[in-house]
Amino acid sequence: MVIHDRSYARWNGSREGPVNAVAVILQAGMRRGVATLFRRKIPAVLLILTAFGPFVFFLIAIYGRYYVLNNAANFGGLAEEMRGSELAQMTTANGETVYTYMFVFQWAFVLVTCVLLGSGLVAEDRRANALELYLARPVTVRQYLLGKLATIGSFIAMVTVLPTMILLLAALSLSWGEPGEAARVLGLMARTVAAGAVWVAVPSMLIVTASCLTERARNAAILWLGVVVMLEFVISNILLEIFDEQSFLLLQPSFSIRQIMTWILGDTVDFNAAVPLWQSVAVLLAWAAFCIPTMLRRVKPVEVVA
Amino acid sequence: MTPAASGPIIELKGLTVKYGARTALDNVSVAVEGGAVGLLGPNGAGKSTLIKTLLGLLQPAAGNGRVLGQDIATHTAALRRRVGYMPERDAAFPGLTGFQATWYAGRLCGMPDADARRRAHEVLLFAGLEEARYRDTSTYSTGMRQRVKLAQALVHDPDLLFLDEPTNGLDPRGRIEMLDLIRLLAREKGIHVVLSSHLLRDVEEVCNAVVVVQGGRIVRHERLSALSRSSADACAVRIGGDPAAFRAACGERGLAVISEKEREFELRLVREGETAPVFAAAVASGAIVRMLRPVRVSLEEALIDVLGGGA
Repeated sequence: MVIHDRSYARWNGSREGPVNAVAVILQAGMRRGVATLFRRKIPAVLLILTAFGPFVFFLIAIYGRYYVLNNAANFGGLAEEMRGSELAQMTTANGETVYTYMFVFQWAFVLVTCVLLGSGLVAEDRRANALELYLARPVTVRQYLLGKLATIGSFIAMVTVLPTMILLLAALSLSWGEPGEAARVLGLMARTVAAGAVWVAVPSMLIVTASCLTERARNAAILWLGVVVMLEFVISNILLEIFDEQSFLLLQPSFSIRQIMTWILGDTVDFNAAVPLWQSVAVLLAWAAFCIPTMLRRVKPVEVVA
Repeated sequence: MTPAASGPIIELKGLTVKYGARTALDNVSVAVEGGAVGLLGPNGAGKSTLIKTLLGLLQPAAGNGRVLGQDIATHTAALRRRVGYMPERDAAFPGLTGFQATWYAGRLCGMPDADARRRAHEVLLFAGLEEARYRDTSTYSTGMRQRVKLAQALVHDPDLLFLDEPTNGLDPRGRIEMLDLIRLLAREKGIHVVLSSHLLRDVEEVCNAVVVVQGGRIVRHERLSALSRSSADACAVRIGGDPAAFRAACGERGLAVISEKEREFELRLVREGETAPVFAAAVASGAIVRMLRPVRVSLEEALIDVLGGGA
């Protein structure tokens, strides 16, 4: 029989070491997110499989192209045909376009990830009065928010940056023997990380801001989806139709992200030259100028009711 | 083991806290010695505001303060590693079990993972949450929620514990158990306790000093024994003889009748401890004094007296 000591014992540990609150909040957030995701196992597995669908497609395309072109004698006309095809051009192991598409194709999964795992991050803490528990400990508002942003950012990275990086590693393995190609792929890898950071940061910031504005995950999800759907698919397209002015695309959050990403990746095919890069940068900065003060204002240990 | 008494644990000088235009704490100055201190006052007096200011959750508009030697405005991180806080409101880390929530609270205070796990189990057992510690806190009863809040406040072994209405919502047995735990921490484990409550019996059972707050000001700060002491300026008298004549004789000698029931009187003395006029009044009215004793002032009466005077 286990006998528990029920008396109170003092702790002899040090209180002087650093408190890495961001990492602690991230760790707990990831655990909770995984638990939330796998509460219903079949939808979770389906989501993960479909999120990695583009990765599998491009991996097969890259490897298939490499195999056919390197064994052209066995494939006859197919190899020649493949050299001229658009897909084959796109799936060059070190091509920039494929990685742009890898990011863009994941937009729907970013939306789903934000709704499922990001909408409740702050809203549920506010509802459960947990902010008082966090901020009465050596945790600042900034650390709290960074922890929450890192949590949702990690999940978004898993469906965007992670498969892209695996694809790049596959490309690297295929181009390793070719002179100069490995260095080129390694450079592309660094640019992909930078582009991925933009892709992760902006949706994370928007969903955490939405979560800060409500006390229910459901309301935050509705708010986030409402704003994104209206800007992304309704308002921008209506204005574009009426005025035929490409600058209205800037209303779409994904457009500015895509413009900056394609510029970072050096993808000239998908970069919309009609809209200058600085405008996209300005739009994202404007989003940040709205979101950051809103988050800081809404996360408070004490709610003052006038 | 009693808490180390090395100077005041809380020192406030001219502390003023405002919610917008409303002043919640007004020029508060006090030096609180260690031990178990009760924070008393009516609803809205500023007790919770005072605790939140001491934790650095609210910034003072004026004045300054130190808790355990740390400035409450500038050294909040160092301060919060040494204090524990049990909020009045129902508060929980959502979606976590009792164990996970307590472990998480420890990690947020900078405890290493293994220590936080061990301590979480220890304090949850101490707080009386055995197997329930593996259940989601959202399924807990009110009493269990109070216990897990106490465990979270204790997990990093604070030197000072702020408890805001810790017996709220507890049944009589739960209340006694909670007070037993707090008393043990304060008297035997060397942890200073600041207990905010509107329940005077809770404070009476646990604390050795009280701070009375009203209207954002501290109207009294002294040892509990001094506040609820025998009143030196009043006495209770039972006489044999004519009560009306005795009452009249008392009036002639400046003794005010506080209350009267049959032949028992409570009298306000002219000077503290001076009972000779009572006997003189008895002689003059032809009565005999059968009993005379000082009036015992309960904490409740003392508090009403203090709050009445401070209003």
